[in-house]
Amino acid sequence: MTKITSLALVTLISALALAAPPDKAGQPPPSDPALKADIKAAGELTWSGDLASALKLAADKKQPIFIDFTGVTCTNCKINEKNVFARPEVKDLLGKYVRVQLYADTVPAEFYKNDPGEEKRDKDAEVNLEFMRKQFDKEQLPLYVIVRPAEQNSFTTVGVYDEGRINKVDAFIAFLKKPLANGRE
Amino acid sequence: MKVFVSSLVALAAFGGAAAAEAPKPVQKVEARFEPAAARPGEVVTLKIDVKLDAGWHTYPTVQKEKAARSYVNKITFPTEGPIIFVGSVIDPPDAKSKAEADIEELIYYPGGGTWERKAVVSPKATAGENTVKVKFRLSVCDKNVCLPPETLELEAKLKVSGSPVAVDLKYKDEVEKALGGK
Repeated sequence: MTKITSLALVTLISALALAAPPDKAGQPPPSDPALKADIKAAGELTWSGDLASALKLAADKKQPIFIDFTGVTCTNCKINEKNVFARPEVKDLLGKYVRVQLYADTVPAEFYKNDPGEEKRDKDAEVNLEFMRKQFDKEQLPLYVIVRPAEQNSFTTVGVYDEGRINKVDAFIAFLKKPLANGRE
Repeated sequence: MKVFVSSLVALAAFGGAAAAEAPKPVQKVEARFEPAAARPGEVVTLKIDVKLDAGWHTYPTVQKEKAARSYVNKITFPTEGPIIFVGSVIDPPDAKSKAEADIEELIYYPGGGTWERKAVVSPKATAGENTVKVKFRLSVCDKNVCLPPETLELEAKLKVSGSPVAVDLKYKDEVEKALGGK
């Protein structure tokens, strides 16, 4: 085996480990009427805080959903959102998804029609965190997940990207491109 | 070669499953009073020690820069009881800082630190052992990930004994306010 082949294998395995699709069906947390349909943030794309509503929208638009598990206390999340999501190629790819940001520490007030107060925003974030733990067996921020809408407001998981701070931008771009290349978007 | 590749892929898949467990970088979070015994009216210091694994860091309770204001730990103190917390939280002295994203000076503490706040034993406190409960919302990150902050309930014991002393003038107003005098 040549060194180049070894390197290619290690790269392939590394990409597989980063974006291993759990292929797991699931139900979103219940829809919350207090949340806005979407807000502008992270690279000036619109984001929703309500996965259940996003699933309906994604089914109508026949698009996959990109879930950004993030946090107001998470520096690595903000670095990705500012430095990576704003890159033209990444922004274009994210534009082909229905986008959801699920805060796992406290949901920012701007996600709501009216600020419901810190207590509810913290509780909503606990629901998001529990959803991340149970559905994706992860407890870290950031975490990126791609799902597709399925029947009865459920979803199937297409892929999970758990690098955290995105150092391998090419791998993240490949993660975003793969579901779109299947011709189902 | 095929066997080798299959083994590697299997290893990668197994590695992915193992990575599902959340990191546990917090070695210790403990609260204590110094001194551990005091007379009514005396000033004591609550100290909260946080120790993290190498490579992990945490944050102050207050950042200097507005853009960094959410990257903080939050400590909630009791507002009733025989121990009256006064002044502000004192963050650990050995802060480091770095530029991150749009933040020019993000303050952080590699490995943890000790947070402090002064308290006055209420002049009305009766003799005996007191357990004070504080909540510490701890945020930790390494170079790649952050953990969802955890709110820890900490307990510190303080023995009250002896005859009362006059409250330090510096804290007199806060103590009187806490006792409903102002």
